[in-house]
Amino acid sequence: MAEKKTVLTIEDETALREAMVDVLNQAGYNAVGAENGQVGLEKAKELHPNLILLDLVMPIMDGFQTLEALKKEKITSPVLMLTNLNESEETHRAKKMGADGYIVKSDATLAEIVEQVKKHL
Amino acid sequence: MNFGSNHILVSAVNTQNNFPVIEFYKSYWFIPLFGICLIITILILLYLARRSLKQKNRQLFQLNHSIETRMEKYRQLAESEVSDTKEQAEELQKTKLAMLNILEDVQEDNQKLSAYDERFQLATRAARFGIWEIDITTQAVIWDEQMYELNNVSRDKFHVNLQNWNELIAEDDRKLREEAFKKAITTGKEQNITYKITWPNGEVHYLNSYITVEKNTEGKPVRLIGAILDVTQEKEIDKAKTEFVSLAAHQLRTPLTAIKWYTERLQNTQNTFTADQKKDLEQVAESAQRVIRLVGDLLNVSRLDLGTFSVEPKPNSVVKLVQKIVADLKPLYTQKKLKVSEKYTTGLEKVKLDEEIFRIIIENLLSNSIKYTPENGKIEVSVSKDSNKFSIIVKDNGYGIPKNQQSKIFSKLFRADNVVSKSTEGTGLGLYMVKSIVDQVGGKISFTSEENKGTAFKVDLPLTGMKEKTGSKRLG
Repeated sequence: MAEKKTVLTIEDETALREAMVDVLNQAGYNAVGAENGQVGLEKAKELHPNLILLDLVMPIMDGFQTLEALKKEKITSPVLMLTNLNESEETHRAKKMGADGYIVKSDATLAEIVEQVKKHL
Repeated sequence: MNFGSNHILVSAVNTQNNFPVIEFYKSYWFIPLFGICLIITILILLYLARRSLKQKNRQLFQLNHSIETRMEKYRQLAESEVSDTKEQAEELQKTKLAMLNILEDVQEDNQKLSAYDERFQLATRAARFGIWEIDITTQAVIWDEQMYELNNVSRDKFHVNLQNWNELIAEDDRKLREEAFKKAITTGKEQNITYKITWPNGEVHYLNSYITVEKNTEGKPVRLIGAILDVTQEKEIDKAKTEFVSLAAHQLRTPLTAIKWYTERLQNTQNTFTADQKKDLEQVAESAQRVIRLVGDLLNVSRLDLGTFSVEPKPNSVVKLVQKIVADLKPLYTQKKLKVSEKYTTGLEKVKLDEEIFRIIIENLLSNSIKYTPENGKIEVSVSKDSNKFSIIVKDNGYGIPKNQQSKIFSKLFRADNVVSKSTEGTGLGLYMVKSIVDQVGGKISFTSEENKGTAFKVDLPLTGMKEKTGSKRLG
């Protein structure tokens, strides 16, 4: 059996993080959650995930700061930004900083998120 | 007289040679003859003298007459001169009176003008308006009193010219103002910009500048005239409003997303729910989706009102986009057993459209038709094209809009009486949003409607596409 691909979900909202982690685990991934950017960065260094789902608005370290820190640590896993709203400024900035895509959480269903993850792996 | 004496001499000579002269002298008969001759001579002389006198007299008379004629002429001339001078004097008098009247009027106008000016000054001061002028050729700048206050510079120390003025403006905004000036001059159209300045005490102020162009009689721009208003307070309120709406939306969206996702998870749990429970779950999911949409619409409206949204047009096939939207809404109209027909023009090339914004327009119109057409009704979606624009028409045979409410249909939060009881879904934001978007991307929206017969909405967009707009937010 092929080794499970690791997906790191960095999201401060517990309910949302757990829903994503559960559904990704059910879909056959090794899903790991992190409650903020700092924890996320540590876990990314440790696990070298195949993909990172990264929330934009978070305390301590927001999505942009985390993205920057990930690049600095030479972690090249594809990153999908999770946004609450469709903010052109933010999504443009995220793209410029090297994010591979973004998902507007409230617009997406969990099934669509799994679909996006599959597409980027 | 000469003739006479010659005759006498000849007679004498002749007499000496040929005739007996002695006899002649000796006789006395020649005396009367001599007398007659003398008398004749005298008479002739007298006649000649008279004639000459008469001639002189005539000449004198003529001279006299000519002098008199001339005198008369001079007299007449003098008289006419006098009368002319008199007339001129009268004319002058009249002109003087008229001038005095005008002067009086001017003085009166001046008084009025200075009263108006005072009021104008008062009004601009009260409204916190500053008025400025730039001479396009000389680049000379004139500021009114209020301008110094708005820019927080001293009238005595600050020398008003373009360069000094420019230096007061935040560096990032200088270009904006320069471009607005250029645009005003080249297009002749009024421009409105807001730029930032920092006062010497560090306070940041936002100034709204309204720029107009004055042209000379040949239509050449000669002067830029403008009014400046400090909109710092409004800007702060606007910012607070956006921040509030944005914060509320963010705060609402997270739990709503959680409701949506967990309902989805429950729905995907196979075979553990009764049919009734499954129906309940569907209701939860649907409601969550509605609230998410409402929050999204509220956010869109605030972005439209504040103009913070961006329009990013890219070449797109109009027909394909419309077909996709119709297909996406299929579950909604098949559920209501509505018959949807589509009619598309051929030969409509790709048009520059912001796909997401285009979707908001068409989706809203089509979902309105679906919402407000009873079961088994008909909807027709069509795309047509003419020389410089293309039109999308969404037509239904639904409830229609009552005549007396048609004028309010694009107002925020308005819902027509006849549909409020029939559908609870509408928010009253959709058409307001659609109109605002269409207006801001350079299009036009119109409709025809009759109660219980149906409604047709028509959106016209230029073939050149949507107007591009920069902004920090997206509509979604």
